[in-house]
Amino acid sequence: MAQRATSRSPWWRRLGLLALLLALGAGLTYLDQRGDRTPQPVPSDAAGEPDYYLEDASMTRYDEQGRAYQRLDTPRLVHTPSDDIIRAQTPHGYVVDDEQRRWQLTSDSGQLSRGGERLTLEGNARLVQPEQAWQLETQTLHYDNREAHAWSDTASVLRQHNQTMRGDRFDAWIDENRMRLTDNVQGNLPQQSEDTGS
Amino acid sequence: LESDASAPIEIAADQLEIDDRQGTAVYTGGVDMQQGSMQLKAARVDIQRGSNGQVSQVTAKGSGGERAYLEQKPAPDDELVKGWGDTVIYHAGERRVELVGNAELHQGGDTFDGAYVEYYLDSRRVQARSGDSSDSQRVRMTLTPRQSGTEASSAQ
Repeated sequence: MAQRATSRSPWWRRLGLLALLLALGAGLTYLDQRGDRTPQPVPSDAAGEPDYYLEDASMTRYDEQGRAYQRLDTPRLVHTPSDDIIRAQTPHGYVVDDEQRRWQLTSDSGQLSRGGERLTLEGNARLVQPEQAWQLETQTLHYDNREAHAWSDTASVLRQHNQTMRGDRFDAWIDENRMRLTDNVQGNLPQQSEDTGS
Repeated sequence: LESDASAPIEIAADQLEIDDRQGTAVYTGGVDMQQGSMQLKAARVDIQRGSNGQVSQVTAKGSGGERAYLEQKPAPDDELVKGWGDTVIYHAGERRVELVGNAELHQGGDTFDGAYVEYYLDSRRVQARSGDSSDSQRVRMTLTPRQSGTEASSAQ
């Protein structure tokens, strides 16, 4: 009798095993479902159906010497073959000038066209040159890689340290370190007189 | 005015050209510059900045026969001081103005003409001289006697 009693395990052990199995099953089901996020709807665009789109993309372009000259990070970019344009959401990145300085770029949206040689930043566009503390703020900013020329036809505010200059149009030739504001130019250059200057 | 020196410089123009390699900022086209009571009008204004990033020197040029013009109010109840020159150079730190070429300064009732006139905005001292060549513009002064003593103005 005693022999048989020991071979049958007590009821609470079997219940425990069952509970363990159930928990394991629930866990695996949860993990399985978490993986397959339903893909967002394929974005269509006025320019037509995209042939590919990337999420959390980082795009770097290199010159013949293998040096990076442009980089754009974006949570989402879409390429439409009909106009060969890449459209990016909230792009941020940089372009590099002849002296290997980075001019940082950021905006609400961006477009890369002409095989990536022309960049257009739209909405809160900013161009920042940290070494000389230049910062440009405008609505729409264009950049042409071949000419290393950035320009804007929308009201632009250029800042350096505590000085502010604005104009209706802006140009920058980043390889030559030259900038221009045109039409309705106003400059505000705070001064500290010699004795109060710190 | 005394507060002029620490007032911000406000400039309006048609165009601004910045060359970071040269360290220059050039305003062109109907340039109107203001710092407190001082006002400068010219066709072209070159701004140079010192190592501290502050404006150190402003060089204004007239064009098309029109000279650059500068005016400033030495004190609240004083008359405007007015100056003209082919080139007007304002040294912000020293609060000194040089009128170069066809220079002319009106201070109260006195006028100074010459090839070169130098004016100290705070001390109101005036120095005028003729040009280097013999036939160049000589210094002419017109001092208007006043009831109260006027500051002696030295002339070379």
